[in-house]
Amino acid sequence: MSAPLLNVEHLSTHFKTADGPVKAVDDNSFTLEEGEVLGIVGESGSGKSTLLRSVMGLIEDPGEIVDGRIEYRDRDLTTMSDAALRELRGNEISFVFQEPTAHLNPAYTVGDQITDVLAAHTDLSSEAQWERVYELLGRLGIPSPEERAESYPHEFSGGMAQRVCIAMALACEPELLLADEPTSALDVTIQAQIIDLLTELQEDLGLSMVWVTHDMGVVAETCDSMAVMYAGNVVEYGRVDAVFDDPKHPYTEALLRTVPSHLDTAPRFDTIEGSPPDLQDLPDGCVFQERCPEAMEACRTGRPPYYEVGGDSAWLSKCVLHEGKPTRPASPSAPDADANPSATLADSQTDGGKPTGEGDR
Amino acid sequence: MSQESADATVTERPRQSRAVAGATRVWRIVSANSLSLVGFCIVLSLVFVAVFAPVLAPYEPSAQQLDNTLAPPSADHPFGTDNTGRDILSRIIFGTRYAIAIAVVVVTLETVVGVSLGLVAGYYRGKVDETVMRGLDVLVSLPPLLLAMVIVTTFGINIWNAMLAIGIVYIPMMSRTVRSSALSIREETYVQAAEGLGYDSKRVMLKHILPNSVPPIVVLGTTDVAYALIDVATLSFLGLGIQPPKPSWGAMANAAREYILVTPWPIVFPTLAIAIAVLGFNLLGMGLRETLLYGEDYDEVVE
Amino acid sequence: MTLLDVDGLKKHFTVDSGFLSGLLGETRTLKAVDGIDFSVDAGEAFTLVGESGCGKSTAILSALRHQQPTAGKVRFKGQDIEMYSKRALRGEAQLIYQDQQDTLNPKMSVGEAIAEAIRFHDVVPPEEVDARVDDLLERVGISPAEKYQEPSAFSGGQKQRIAIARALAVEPSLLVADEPVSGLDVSVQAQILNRLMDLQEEFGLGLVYVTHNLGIARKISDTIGVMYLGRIVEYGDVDDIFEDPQHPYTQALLSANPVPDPAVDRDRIVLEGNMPDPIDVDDRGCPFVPRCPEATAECETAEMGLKPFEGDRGHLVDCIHR
Repeated sequence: MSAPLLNVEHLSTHFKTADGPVKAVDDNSFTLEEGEVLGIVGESGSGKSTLLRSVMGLIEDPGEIVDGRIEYRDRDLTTMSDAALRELRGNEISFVFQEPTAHLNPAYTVGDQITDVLAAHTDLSSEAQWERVYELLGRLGIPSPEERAESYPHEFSGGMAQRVCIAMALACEPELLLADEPTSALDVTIQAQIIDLLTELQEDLGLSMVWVTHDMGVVAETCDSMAVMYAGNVVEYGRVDAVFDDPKHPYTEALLRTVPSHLDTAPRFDTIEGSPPDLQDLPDGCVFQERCPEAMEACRTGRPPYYEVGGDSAWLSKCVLHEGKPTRPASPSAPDADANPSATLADSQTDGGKPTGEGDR
Repeated sequence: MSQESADATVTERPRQSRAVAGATRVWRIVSANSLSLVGFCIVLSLVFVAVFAPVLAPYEPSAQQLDNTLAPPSADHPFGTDNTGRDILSRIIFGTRYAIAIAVVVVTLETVVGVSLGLVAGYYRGKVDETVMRGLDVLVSLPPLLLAMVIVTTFGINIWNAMLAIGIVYIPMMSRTVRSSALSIREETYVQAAEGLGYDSKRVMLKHILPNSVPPIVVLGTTDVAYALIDVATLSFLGLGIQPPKPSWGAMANAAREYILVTPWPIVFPTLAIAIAVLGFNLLGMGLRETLLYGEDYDEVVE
Repeated sequence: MTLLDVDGLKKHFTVDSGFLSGLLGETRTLKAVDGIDFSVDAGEAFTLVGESGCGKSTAILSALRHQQPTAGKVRFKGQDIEMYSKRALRGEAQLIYQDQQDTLNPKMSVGEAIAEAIRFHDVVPPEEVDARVDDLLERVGISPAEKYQEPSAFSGGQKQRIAIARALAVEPSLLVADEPVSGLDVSVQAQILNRLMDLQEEFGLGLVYVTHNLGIARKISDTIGVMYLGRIVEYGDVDDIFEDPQHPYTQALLSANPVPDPAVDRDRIVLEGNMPDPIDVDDRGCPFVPRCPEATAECETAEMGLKPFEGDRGHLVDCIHR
């Protein structure tokens, strides 16, 4: 297999507060192969949106990417200039958000907003831009595109507005589409329409996608690989079929049990007792230890590194149950890591060793 | 209300720790902002001076020294004496009591009446709201000071009527503030939930809407004290407020007016006292506004 | 015993359609709830399922007189609900709200909020109120030591548990829950819903649950009503409907719901278009016609109404093709 389109290595994004850093994203690795769909799944507050925003380069003060690399086509997005990132965003990499109407400007027609994107990243003539708008809106299943391009966002229903947002995201024929809960605000029957549409577009256009969601059902139906997040950590990363079939992290297993399915006839809901830890006060060791049925002494010291449970870097788990399996090597950007000491990086390199450069309290 | 106070003992903390908690809470809110902290210190000093006036004042406020009139500041009389030889410092110290009385009476009146009208209008909406608010509009349509003067001259020139007049003038603003707050709180889920538990309207208004409208009431009440001090002083200056020889700051300034060409001190010091008191309440009000209404960390402060 | 019996309930709103049409005397009617029937027995859990805007929340709010219905008869414990005083009705039927963040008065300790409800409805003698508050908090999994805290000290899930404790405090016979766990994480949802089901069974309460989440509906209900555009289009035992849905809308809804299992390969029915606004819905014919894959000319004019499916009085479908 050729080099992945997107390779995230040991990414950490922290938010500075007066009481110490909030570790919203803490030492996460995953890859996205070209033409595939990766689901990032987790409960609210697990850091999945922050992870996606980090990849987008949309982290703002007091947030900061404190460690790690985001390689996109062999370029490291974390070291890229703001201007270069802007050139990528909306062009090669584009986004779709949860609340479609909130991400459209109410003062302009949707046609104007789409031509804006085209004007920023292409040198199409005005006529060609409008041609493209009609083509896009039509492609996204919006009836009579010439007419609807003149409509304002509030004249669209939620599902139609999300189609407009997707049209805007696809305007410049991106390589990579990052979608943050694109169907969560929609009703089931409308969600089905958008899922079908996105899946179809992804296949037709050879798009690569990262799809952030809290819905395991959406992951099962749309994604090729998945990253399960808990308390700022991608605790498991692997192929969707394999992970659903035999999860290699106790949290993934618990989460899969908990999701209510309308096909499930058990009399009660499966639960995970307790609640997620405070991101400002994470326990030493595994983040899931307090709720984990398998927790043992080894879980309480040192954050587990990524173990390669599948024998290669395509299936990773941050759980000591898989100790003995090879660990995913640290990113080669060692000088960078030295300049920016992080407990988590140290952990993964020394396999459970006590952090040395940590000073969060 | 007896039922309410009986209620409180069951699920509330013991009394004493509640008092301590209350004081701590007040201190946290006040000290969250340097404006309110300075203002609070000034106001606290005024209260202290008012309470201990007999101890602090070097002379009887009405003791005349006819052989030592209109004296400039000196060691014996730090602020000088007035036209009948009374010690200005002592009179200003005793004048603090009037200032505090004005604050208490005006704020109590505008709060009790204004809050009740605002709550009722905001809770019942519709015709009740219309009636109350249009009635208040009539009050607002007259210039406030003119209205106060009409009230005082109609009911008799004395200190009580002056304070009541100013209090009445301030009612509409308080009512409007509470009404708009009640209108929005009424839509909150917890008020819907209170209705859902079958509670009567009095309980919903007093226990569920009012406690959540307190911040704007406190802010407005505090700032209004500053305005009330100025307005009562103005009434007194015009001879419609507190009457000489009572040592109110406004009346003192009025009495000193005739001698301003002889010596400025009898008018300077009372005016200064008014200015400081107004500044104190204004700063406190501004600081509280920041903390209670716009503060990002209001919840942190309060918790 | 039948607790709640709703018959032909309608809730219509008049829509302001602008100045000119106002002058011309034209008014438009939004039929949020357009003639629904259902009943709930003691100890039974009934769920209204539907997408946003189908009228499911309005239906229960007007059934229990939180809103005044336009038409219809509602009986509570066999008696016309109009005969109950507000206080008596609220003591019998308690509502749990969707919005966990704001369901408790932020200026009142959670213990006091529960105690207030107990005292107001004279549930126990004054000296026992305190013990009852502790007991209720414990039942929903909140430590009684935390009762002096104000709501801001609790998470969304904890606030919803406290709200449930407060609803139970008045010892109602019917509990009505409007999407009480939407917005909460699945692991927290599961804890609360299990607790709710335990308490419902323990006290033999009737439960009316409103949700768009089919996974939750499946577990929590005995019977369900599937709502579309202000009407119940299918009604019956939850397992019957989930395993063998009859109405084309129910079929589409169930098939569109993502299943958290990549091994399940399903043929999804993806409906075209949106559910229209329930404004000026024609009284004649089936409101699902514009999106229905099985619609025929006959559907546009047919007399609609729930009818037993294959003679089963426990499974009702509002479709002329069944």
